[in-house]
Parts: sequence; structure tokens; C-alpha cells
Amino acid sequence: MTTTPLTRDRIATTDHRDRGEGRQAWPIPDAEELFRSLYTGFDSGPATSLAVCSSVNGEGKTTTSLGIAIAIAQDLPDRRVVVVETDLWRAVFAKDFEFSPSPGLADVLLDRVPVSSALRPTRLDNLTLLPAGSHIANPQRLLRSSRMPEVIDALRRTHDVVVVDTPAVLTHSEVALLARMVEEVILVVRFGVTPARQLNDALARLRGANVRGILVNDTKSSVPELVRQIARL
Amino acid sequence: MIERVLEAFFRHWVLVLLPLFAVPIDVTAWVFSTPPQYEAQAGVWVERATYLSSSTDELTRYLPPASVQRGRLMELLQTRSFANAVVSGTPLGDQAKTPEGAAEIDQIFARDFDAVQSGDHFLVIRFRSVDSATAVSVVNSVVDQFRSRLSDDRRVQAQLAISFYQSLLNDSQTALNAARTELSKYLSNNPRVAQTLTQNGIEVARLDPQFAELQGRVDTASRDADNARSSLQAAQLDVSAANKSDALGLQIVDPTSVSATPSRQLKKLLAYPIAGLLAGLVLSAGLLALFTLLDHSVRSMEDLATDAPILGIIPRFETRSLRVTGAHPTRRALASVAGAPLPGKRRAS
Repeated sequence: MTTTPLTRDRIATTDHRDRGEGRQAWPIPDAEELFRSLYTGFDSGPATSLAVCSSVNGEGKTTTSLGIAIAIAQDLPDRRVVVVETDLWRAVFAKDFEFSPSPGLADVLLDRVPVSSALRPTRLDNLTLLPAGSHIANPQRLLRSSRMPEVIDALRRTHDVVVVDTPAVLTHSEVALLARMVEEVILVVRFGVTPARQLNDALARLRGANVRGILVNDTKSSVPELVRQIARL
Repeated sequence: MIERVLEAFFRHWVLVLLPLFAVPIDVTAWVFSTPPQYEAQAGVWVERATYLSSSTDELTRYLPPASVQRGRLMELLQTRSFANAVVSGTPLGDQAKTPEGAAEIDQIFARDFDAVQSGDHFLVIRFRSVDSATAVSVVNSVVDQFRSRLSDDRRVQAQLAISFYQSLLNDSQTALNAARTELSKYLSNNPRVAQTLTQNGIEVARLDPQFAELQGRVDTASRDADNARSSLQAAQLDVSAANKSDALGLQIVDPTSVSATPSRQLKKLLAYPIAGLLAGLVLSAGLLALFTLLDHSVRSMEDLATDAPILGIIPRFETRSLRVTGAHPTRRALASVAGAPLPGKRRAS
């Protein structure tokens, strides 16, 4: 399969072409444009593999991974996109999409099934998911194994864009290894959740990886607009 | 900083405002839940009860008698023996027989008893109770016991004073006798001085330094003896008076009276809710400070002290209109684009 870099021009033409009646509407209209603007912002190079990380849990990694993957899959129907759930401790894909948790990434890493058997189709033809898989005792050993880069490479061969949804950087040291297996890393920071000091710790842990930048999530202030105006914030 | 405080407030506004409303409301409810009380009061005239002025400390020496006696009364009420003596003849007497009851008596006095100074000698003694008879009997008992205690103290002090002044008088008398003997010896050994004394009087005789010194000793000893004698007589008089009457240190000016209807104290009605409001305010402010100080999270772009570029800013999505039930509504709403079911919508259908 030939791939074309995800440049802004490319997005513009495909976006214009794909706006048809069969397109699945986003339940949050603002989100569609926002995630599209996010990946069109990555126009400095053709990233085919991307890891979405965060310092601690609950900052919106999975939401961001899904948002970016869905936006790419909708806008570029000729691109095959896969989202890999590597947070084997807090797996959510099986629950959200209501399919069986196994086989999944853990089963692939244990050589129980081939990668192709663990992929789950979605409503979007060009978007597949690789869920976390069966629950196992020591997931960190699997993520550190030599099988993990092989699986990522295998997915890159069969897909145009591989989005890796990782566990939290500060609670799982193997995320630093995962981050080096992909071309680019996005660090999600959630206002009101991410401790400022731990953000720097997370960036320090990702030193060997190509951190493209920070995605600031959930920026709405709790302070009402009127109060903000009065306090001149 | 103000932004962080406001963020903390609006994120935890329920918890922050809870003490501000809950504490005054609870206090006010408690005030109105307590039954109204009768207040009995008596006015007494008190004197400073002291014989040995040198034994009083520097502070009380300059305080008016009412203030000193009020302090004594409040201190006495904190002693178990005096409190028991006070309540023994009142309806509260049965309570004092058990350790728990005695502790409760202490609380009752701390809460419902008051002695207010009104002038240098006048004290108003008050007690509140849901029962008017109890209020009256406690005030009467306090006055009686306090008067009895003052009288006893005065008697004991007077006895001590008698012993002291008697001893002082004896010593002064001995010193006077010794001084007179020495002076007589000197005059018999110095006839010229004796002659001068006889012919020209004592002032001329004082020109002799030895005579002047001896005469001075006699004069001093004589004065000391006179003072001791008069103090002794005063103390003896006081003991005699104290034995005949208890009314020396305390006199009842206004006999005990009781309010016609029970009522709540104005202090309780006003001061307690205001104190509750202030306490709630302090608690709320403390909570707000705590939430602000404990929040080390990223709150603004300035907090992102890093060289990494900002790729984008995702606002908080409005998901209430989606009616998605359960946790992570944004994620589940996005996943629905790829085919994941929306739990809220499915249940609705």
C-alpha cells in the first residue's frame, strides 16, 4: 500500500472529497474539527506511528488516541488506521466497544494468536482496534519483551497510521520503551489533574523518544466567565 | 494566585461553603433547642477581708473588693468541696453524689452561674435553671456558703493575727525593757548626763551621743510595742465580732429574686449564632486555603514550564446534551463514531 504524507494540503483535498452523506456524524460537533486540526497540525512530517502518553492516569490519553484515529480514518478513507491499547492494566476498548477482551495485544505478545486475528473492525472500514487482550499477571514483562517492537513493526507494515495508547508514564516505566518504538510521541496534559512537577518528570522519562509536543486537555476553567471578567483573569 | 484560589473555590464550592452555612445553622438550632430558663439573682455588698496586709499580693492590693471577692467566689466554685456544699441543700444535691453527677455540676456552674461586679463593693450573683425553685435555691446557697466561707476565713485570719501581734507585742516589750535597762545603766554610770537631764530636760541631754542613741532605742521599742498592742486589740475585737455575726465580710443588699417567665439568654440568642458564623467563616477559609495549597496541578499555560511545544488545546466538551450515562462520556461519545454503543441512548431505546 502506498502512503502519502499527512500534510495540510492532503487533508484539505480529502476532507473536501469525503464530506458526503455516508459520513458518520460526531456526537460532539466541536470535537470533530478539533481533532482534525490536531492531526493537520502534525504536518512537519509523515508520522505513521504515534504514541499518546500522559504523566498520570485520567488525563485523556485514550480519548485523544481515539479522537485522532477517528478523525484520520474519516478524512482519509484510503488510509488504514489502527489504535493499539497498550495499557494492559486499565483496558477500556473491550468495554467501550462491547466486544470480547481477548484475543488482544497480550495474547499476540504471548504468541497465542497472530496480530491479524486480534484486530477488531469498527464501523469505519479503515479503522481497526487492537484491544489489550486477556488479563495476565505481569503485563510489564510483556511490554518490555522483544515481541512488542515486532508487533508494532507488523502493524506499521499493514497500516498507514499506528496510534499507540499507552499507560501513564510515571506509573509504568515501560512507556519510555514504547515511546522509542514509534516515530512521534504526544504528551497529554489535563488542566486540574496533571501535577506541574510531574509533567517535567514525565518529559524527563521520555527523553530518548521523539516528543512532538504537549496536548493540553480539558482547559475549561471552573471559574464562571463573569467572575473571570470581574477578577480580570 | 487569585486564579488558583478561585479555581479551588468553584471546583469545591459545596465543600467550601458547607461550614459557612452549616455551623451557624447548627448553632442556632442548638440555641433554640435548649429550653428557656429562669434567672435568679441576688446583690451582695462585700468587703476586703484582710488583716495581714503584707500577706496580700501586689495585684489584689489595688483591686476593688468586689473584684477580689468575685475572683475568690469563682475560684471556690471550681473546687469540688465548695460546689458540693453549695448544691447540698438544693434540688441539684442528689446529682453531686456520683462522680458523673459531680462533673455535670461543674459544667452547670460553668454554664449557668455568673457573678458580675457592679461597682467597688457590689456583686450581683446569678444562676439560670429551667426550674425557678432551683435557680433561687442555688443563688441563696451560694450566698450563704460564700458568706460562711468569708466569715471562717476572717476568723482564721484574725486568730493568726492575734497570735502574730501577741508575739510581736512580747518581742517589742522585751526590747523596750532591755533598752530601758541599758539607758538606766548609762545614766547611773554618767551622773553628769543624769544631772543635765534633770536640770535642762531631755533635748539638752540628747547632745550626748551615747544618751541620744539609747534614748532613741527606747522610743522605737516603745512605739513598736504600742502598735502591736493596738493591732492585737483590733484583731481581738474582730474575732469577737466574727463570733457573734457572719455579716462582716458580706452583706445581702438585694435579696434573691427570680424572673417571672423563663427566657433564653440574649447572649445565647445573639452571640452564639454570630460566633458560629465566624467559626464557619474560618473553617470555610481554612478549607479553601487547604484546597488551594494542595492543588499542584497545571492550571494555566504559565504552569507548563517546559520547552516542549504546545500542539493544541482541547476544551472541555459539553456532553450533557448527549445523555451518555456512566463514566468517561467524552471518550464514549467519540468511540460511538467508530461504532461503540452509547450506553445512555441504548437504554433509552
